[in-house]
Amino acid sequence: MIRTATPRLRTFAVLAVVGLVGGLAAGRPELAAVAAPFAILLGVGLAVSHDLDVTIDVRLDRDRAIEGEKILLVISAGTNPPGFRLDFEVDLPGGVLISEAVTEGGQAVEVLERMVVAFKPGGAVPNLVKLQLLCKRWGAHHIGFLRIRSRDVWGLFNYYLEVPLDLSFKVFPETAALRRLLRPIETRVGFGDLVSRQKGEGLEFADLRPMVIGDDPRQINWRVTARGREVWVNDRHPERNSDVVLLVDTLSEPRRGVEVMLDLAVRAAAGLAAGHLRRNDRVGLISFGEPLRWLRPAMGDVQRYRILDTLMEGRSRRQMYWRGVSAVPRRALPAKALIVGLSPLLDERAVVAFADLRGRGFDLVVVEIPAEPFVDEPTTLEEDLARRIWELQRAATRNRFVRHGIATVRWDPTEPFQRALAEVEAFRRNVTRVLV
Amino acid sequence: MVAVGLAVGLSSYPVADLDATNQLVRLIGVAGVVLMVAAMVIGVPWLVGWATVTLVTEYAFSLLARPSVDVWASLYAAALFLMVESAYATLERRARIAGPSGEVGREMSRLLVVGSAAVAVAALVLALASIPVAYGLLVQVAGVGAAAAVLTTLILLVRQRA
Repeated sequence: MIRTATPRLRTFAVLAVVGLVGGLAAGRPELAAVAAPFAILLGVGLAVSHDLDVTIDVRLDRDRAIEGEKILLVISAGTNPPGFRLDFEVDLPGGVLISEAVTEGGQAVEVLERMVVAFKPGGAVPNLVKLQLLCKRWGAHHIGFLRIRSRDVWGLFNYYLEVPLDLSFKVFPETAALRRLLRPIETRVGFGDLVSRQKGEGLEFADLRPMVIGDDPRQINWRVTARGREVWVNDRHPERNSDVVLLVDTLSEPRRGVEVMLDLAVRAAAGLAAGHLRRNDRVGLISFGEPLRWLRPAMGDVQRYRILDTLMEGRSRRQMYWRGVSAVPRRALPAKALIVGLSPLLDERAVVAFADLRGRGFDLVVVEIPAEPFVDEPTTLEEDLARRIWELQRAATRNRFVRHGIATVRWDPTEPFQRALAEVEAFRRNVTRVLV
Repeated sequence: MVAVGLAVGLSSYPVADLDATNQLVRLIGVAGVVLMVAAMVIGVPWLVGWATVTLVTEYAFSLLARPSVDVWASLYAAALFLMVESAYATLERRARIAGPSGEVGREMSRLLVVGSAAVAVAALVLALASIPVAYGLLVQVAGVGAAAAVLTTLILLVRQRA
């Protein structure tokens, strides 16, 4: 460890020199008497001081957790010579706290914010201190370094060491279970929990019709047939699944309050993904930001984690060339897919992208995450005017979407996301689909 | 608070026996107290050193006006030592972090032990200085040599260890 002199050592040295030299020069034994305790403590402290070697090993017990869960950071430390108290400072990312620290034997170690103090390893044989990291916010987190501090018993030297770490873990957002999900206008051929609007083989009754050559005799409805002279068969709706593509607008990232907006969008997207995957739908993702990222629709739990991983990937980087949604390959945007856009509708590129997708005939839903709460209230007449114009522009954008048959709802974050979905369903029931 | 209280006491003691005309010594004492207060309020450890040196300077100037040996010098030394230790202990606790429970008690007992030791050491030095010996060139040379040896040893240790 790096050893540095404390201010106490310098003060003691100066007082010893001043006292002894002053006493000698002035011929006053009192000054020598004043300097003597400082000189003796300094001499003894210096004579017995030595270097401090630390053996350290740091690891995480797992690299994935859900919000609210705890991850264990295990620090194994030993000192040579023994008996030194070590203070650890962990470079914790935002949204992660140390909730508790215990030694191997279960003894509590004091914790102060991101520091663990007063851990005294037994000696050269490493002892463990286990830190419980409480994951309060979702994200891809990284622990960059661990600082170790110590001090000798005389208080004359500080010991310091910064250990670089490369520990990463992901905290997935806690998602609320959605009871009712969006029903796409068209379904895929694959088997799922969704009852298709088409008629075919399935379980759900659709209609009755006279039997024609080639019909399965098992579909004959004997009750109805017995009343008439024709043979009637049941038509059924087949159970199908659908493609759902979640388009999360992260373009507004540098703006104020965006952490909250992005947080809402990610939570909503995670909830939708979990719900649709549970319904055996294929779910894809377009992270509409810089850079543009996408995941092709797929099924299963693996896809759910892929989606969450993509949502949490790095911060945005400005790009010189912006291709917009046209850069997304056809496989990531399959025909008949239901596209659910989650956006604050702040960036014109996102607005253009939604219009583009609707123009290409996709079944599109836009859930607007309101940006108004994060804008300062106007204080002057000009600001008030600007605010009103801005709000009118946003309302015009929403109206334009509605005119083009895009189900557009504003999600009030104080209400459950389920309510926004219910509004979408109501909109889609009441509005005639516009052919484009 | 302990450090500031001790600083006030240490600045008052040397001027207690001085006449009112010796304003310079008083001024140095006040400066020492101000420095100590500033060190405690701002939380700057190096100011503690300057405050201590200023107070010792005040004491040294007051000794010039005193014809006889100050018999309370050992208590002054102990108080000075306690002031420095308590000031650093306070600043370290504030800047670092609170120690584990029970550490304050241990710190207090350590200060008491170290303070008592300081009184003993200072008294020993004073007692040695008051032994009636026939002063001469040899004694002077021996004294200077001892002081130089102590200082050299300290400097060597500091250079070697720090």
